[in-house]
Amino acid sequence: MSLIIAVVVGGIIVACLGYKPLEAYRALFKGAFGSGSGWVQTFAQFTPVMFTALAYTISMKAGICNLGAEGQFLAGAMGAALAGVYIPQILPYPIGFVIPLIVGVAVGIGIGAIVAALKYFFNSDIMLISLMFNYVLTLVTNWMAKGPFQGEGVNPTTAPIDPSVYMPLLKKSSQLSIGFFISLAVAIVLQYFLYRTSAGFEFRVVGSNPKVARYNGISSNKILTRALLISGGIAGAGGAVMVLGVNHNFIINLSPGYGWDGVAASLLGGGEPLTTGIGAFIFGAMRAGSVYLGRKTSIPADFISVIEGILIIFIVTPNILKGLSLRNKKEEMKK
Amino acid sequence: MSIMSQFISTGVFAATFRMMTTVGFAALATLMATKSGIMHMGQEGLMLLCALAGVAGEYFSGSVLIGILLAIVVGIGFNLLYALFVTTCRGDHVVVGVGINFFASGITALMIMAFWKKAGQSDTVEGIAKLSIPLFKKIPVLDAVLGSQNVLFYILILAVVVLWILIYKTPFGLQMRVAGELPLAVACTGKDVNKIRYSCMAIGGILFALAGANISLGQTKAFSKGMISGRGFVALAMCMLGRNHPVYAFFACMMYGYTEALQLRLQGQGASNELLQCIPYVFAIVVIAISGSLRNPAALGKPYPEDAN
Repeated sequence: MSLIIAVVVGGIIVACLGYKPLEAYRALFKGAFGSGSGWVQTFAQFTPVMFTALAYTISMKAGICNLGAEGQFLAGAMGAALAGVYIPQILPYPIGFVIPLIVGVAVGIGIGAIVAALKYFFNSDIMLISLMFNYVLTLVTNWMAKGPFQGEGVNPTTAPIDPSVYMPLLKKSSQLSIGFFISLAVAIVLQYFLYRTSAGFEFRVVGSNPKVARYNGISSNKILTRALLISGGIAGAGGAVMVLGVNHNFIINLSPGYGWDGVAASLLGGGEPLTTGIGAFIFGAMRAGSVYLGRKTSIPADFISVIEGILIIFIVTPNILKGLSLRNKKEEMKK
Repeated sequence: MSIMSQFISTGVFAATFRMMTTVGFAALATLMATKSGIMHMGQEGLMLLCALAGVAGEYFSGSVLIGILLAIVVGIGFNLLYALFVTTCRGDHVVVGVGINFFASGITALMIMAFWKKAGQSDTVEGIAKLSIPLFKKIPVLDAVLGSQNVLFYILILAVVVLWILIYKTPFGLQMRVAGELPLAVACTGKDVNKIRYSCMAIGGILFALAGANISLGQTKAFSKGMISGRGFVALAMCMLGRNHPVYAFFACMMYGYTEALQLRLQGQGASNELLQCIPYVFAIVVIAISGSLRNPAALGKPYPEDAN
């Protein structure tokens, strides 16, 4: 429902700017679903969005707003890229990616740990700190790719990773790797964790009612720390999968904003791990379509940000229309 | 010149004031929202929209005043829209802000393409001229520091004073602070809580417009895609660091401005630009971290009435 409103409103707005909205949507749709390679591209873009969306979902379940997925994604990607080059590869090809992936996850967890430590020792504002880390990590990873770890040549990238750590692709010469299944597996594990384990139950209690949690002796600081670590780890895994499966090195501006797409996708999915997949699928399709949109029409690919923005607003304010009728009702009550 | 002398050169202080003007206005705008109980997260988007409106207004009319006026109209309009979503429509304050940021980053990119037929950057405009005050010319140090400021810097100082009076010395200010702490109490006096919040957001819209106008018309004289790049969130951080008080927030922004000026000065002296650009953000993280739990208004981020649905 929100999606339809967002599409319509977004269309009207771009029409006011003199673009052809129907042409834009047709191009988006064609790019995402128009051909076999479109579908592949959609699922390839689904993967990173799914990881960041799950990172946001799990933090929201514990009642914290981790807006730092973008930075953790980049940090994880950098960790995997460096691990793929500089540490000796002991495992052979199909499973060689495991070690760099673990390094990427560990880096993501490390960033989460810094935020958690600041929260734990100084009681700082998590949202603000994680937000600021995005900018620091973007700059630091850019510096690493341009400076000390730059590969051969003039491009701002790290050296290419060892072929033995490439993630097996699901389709030859595409961007779709088995990272896709890893993201789905993470979603299933999270769903199980949240609804079938007592630790997950504690997460949900802290997230939905901190007071109840305190009365029942659940330490909310402990849960918040865990949530930040898990969230950071998942976002880091997203970055690692991107490097190991798609890019095979770290290039600056690796992420076109996957961290933020994740926020939107998680909201669209209703904040549950499994349904997050729906949100990630839609945003993956939009990302895949936007490439086609930018190439085939005169409409910039930023068009999808407009839709995303309107979509987010409509999802979290379900009573935009109801809110106005609420007012009328109140006036009736006054009479 | 030795390294130490660069830390206190007049050039750095001049840049400090130039850098802090944008963030200062945005911090004040955030403060207006926070005080009345709205958790504002759309600084980035609001500033982007206003920055573009300023450039477009001047580009198409030829007058910088029209540009600033258009920015103000856009600022008030979108800030009120934000208020509508979070008060009357009861949306989540943080997420609506994220949505506005998304929307703004997309729509401004589309508008550059629509207006100037090129991607990424607008044509340049005259912008706001530097304001030289004859009196300062006679005092050497003051001239070096303040001679390169534009009129908005002085408006910022004026705004700090006006807001301090408005918030702490007027009946409206009292209502607004109570609307942020205990909205029910305001409602009991027969005032409409949401109306107060809307008024605060309208004032905040003007301040965002000046922040945006300063960055596009005052500094770069053009609009480029994503030109805010985190300054809005820095403003939020500085507003919190300043304990939601206009005067303290002003000084917090001055500290931020200093770090920004310093990193600009140190660029091109061997160290990596990327690492230097980290300095202001690291500064923000450190000060937010060590200042610990910052007290925000009790009703921040909650719709009023709380239970209606």
